[in-house]
Amino acid sequence: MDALLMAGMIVQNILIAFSFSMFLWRRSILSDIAEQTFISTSMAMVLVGAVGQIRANGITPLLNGKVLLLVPIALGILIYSQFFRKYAFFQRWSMAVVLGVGFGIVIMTSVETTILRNLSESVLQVTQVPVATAANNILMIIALFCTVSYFIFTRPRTGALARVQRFGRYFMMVYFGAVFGSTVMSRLGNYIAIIQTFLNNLGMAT
Amino acid sequence: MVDAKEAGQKTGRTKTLADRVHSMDRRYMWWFLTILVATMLVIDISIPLKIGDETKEFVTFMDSFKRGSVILFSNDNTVTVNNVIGEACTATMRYLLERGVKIVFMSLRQDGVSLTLASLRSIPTVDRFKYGVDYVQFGYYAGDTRVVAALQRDVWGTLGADVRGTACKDIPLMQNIKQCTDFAAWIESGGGSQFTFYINNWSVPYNVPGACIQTAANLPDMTTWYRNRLLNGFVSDQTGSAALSRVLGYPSGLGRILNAQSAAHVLLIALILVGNLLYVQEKLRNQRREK
Repeated sequence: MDALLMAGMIVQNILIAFSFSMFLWRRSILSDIAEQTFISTSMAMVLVGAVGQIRANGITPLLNGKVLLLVPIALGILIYSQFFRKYAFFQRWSMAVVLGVGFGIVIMTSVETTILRNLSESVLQVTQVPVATAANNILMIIALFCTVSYFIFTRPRTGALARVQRFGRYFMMVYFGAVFGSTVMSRLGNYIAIIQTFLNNLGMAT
Repeated sequence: MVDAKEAGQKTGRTKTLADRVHSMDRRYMWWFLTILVATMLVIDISIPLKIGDETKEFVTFMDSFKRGSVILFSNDNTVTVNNVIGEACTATMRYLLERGVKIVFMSLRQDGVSLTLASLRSIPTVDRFKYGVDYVQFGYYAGDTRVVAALQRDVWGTLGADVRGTACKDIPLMQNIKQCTDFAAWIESGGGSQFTFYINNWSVPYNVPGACIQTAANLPDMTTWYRNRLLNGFVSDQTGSAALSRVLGYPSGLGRILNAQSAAHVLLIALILVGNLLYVQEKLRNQRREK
């Protein structure tokens, strides 16, 4: 086996053991070493990537005559004005551009995708489809109406409306439960994958 | 950590089972979970794998690309995410390249660049494909939805040069790729909401179809988009990755992971049930006491 690869596997296992020690044993200098190593290497990667991107998409094209790039470069530099109290307000210009462009794009497209498409796809067929599909579609329609009714704030929550709203809350809780469950599943997937890496490096679990 | 005795003293009553469980040292649970997972990873037990409709549709979607068509593969994996869905990414890349589909790689996350390279290297047939002709790799682009929006009309201007420093105009594969509609499709892989950037900026306004490979954290969202026909299939988590490898006929290293995952899920469900039962028991006990 390649010596460098071997060394990499050893370091990997040591760092995994150090980081696992935080919750299997207690917070200690070992877990701190793993944590700080992770943060510092991540920061180093971010820095190298950022410098590479500034060079590739900013400096090099600028030197090749794309003078307009001076505007975003200047806006980027202005972010660092926050370190000088007197000129700190300049950073707002940069943030205004970044947020403005981001919001503009999101608002322009999200109406179609998150509202209109969801609305049109909520019109479901309940006849001339298999019984199971029809039952599922009916449940979806009921869930839709109950959930939307929960957000009617202009009428008092009493009588039939209150009952419908309560069902709407249950449907939302089912969704939130699904989100929570899938997040736990995802995190567990990461955890298991790390244990597998650890065991693989030891020649087990292959 | 609250001691059981202390918990009992605080409420002025004898400690109950709920108090004991509540005050239990959580390290026991972590040890139990870790040992359970490690055991399941070492011992090979075959649990049948169910292949979901969304994974089948993901493959059908890949089959719909004509030979020679160009797709964008946005590899937005981080290292941890790649542990979960890396196999599906590699299988997708391999399948597409072997079918003669050309791939433009880019990343909205920094790790994605090196992970794409690692995935490509792990494809046994990668030497058959020529860089710049069959596939090309662009780097990391900061800006998320802004980058994807910028690619709508100006691919060359947004991507600039590939990871080797070659400008788009000098890359054979990029000659006819000027805007997003020149791509036959997009495939996004990651652990965040990046796939929605492509849905919002490419699929809805320009009808560029897409699919994604994601961790289970985005399963509810992906299901919504899939049902709304804005996603042409998806691969979710290790289960989906293993299913994809099975459908494509590639060897999978995820069999034991799925066993471990199933065992861990059973443990979590059991813990949730125990927690809820104790909660109900405690509630009933308090009600009786108040009466």
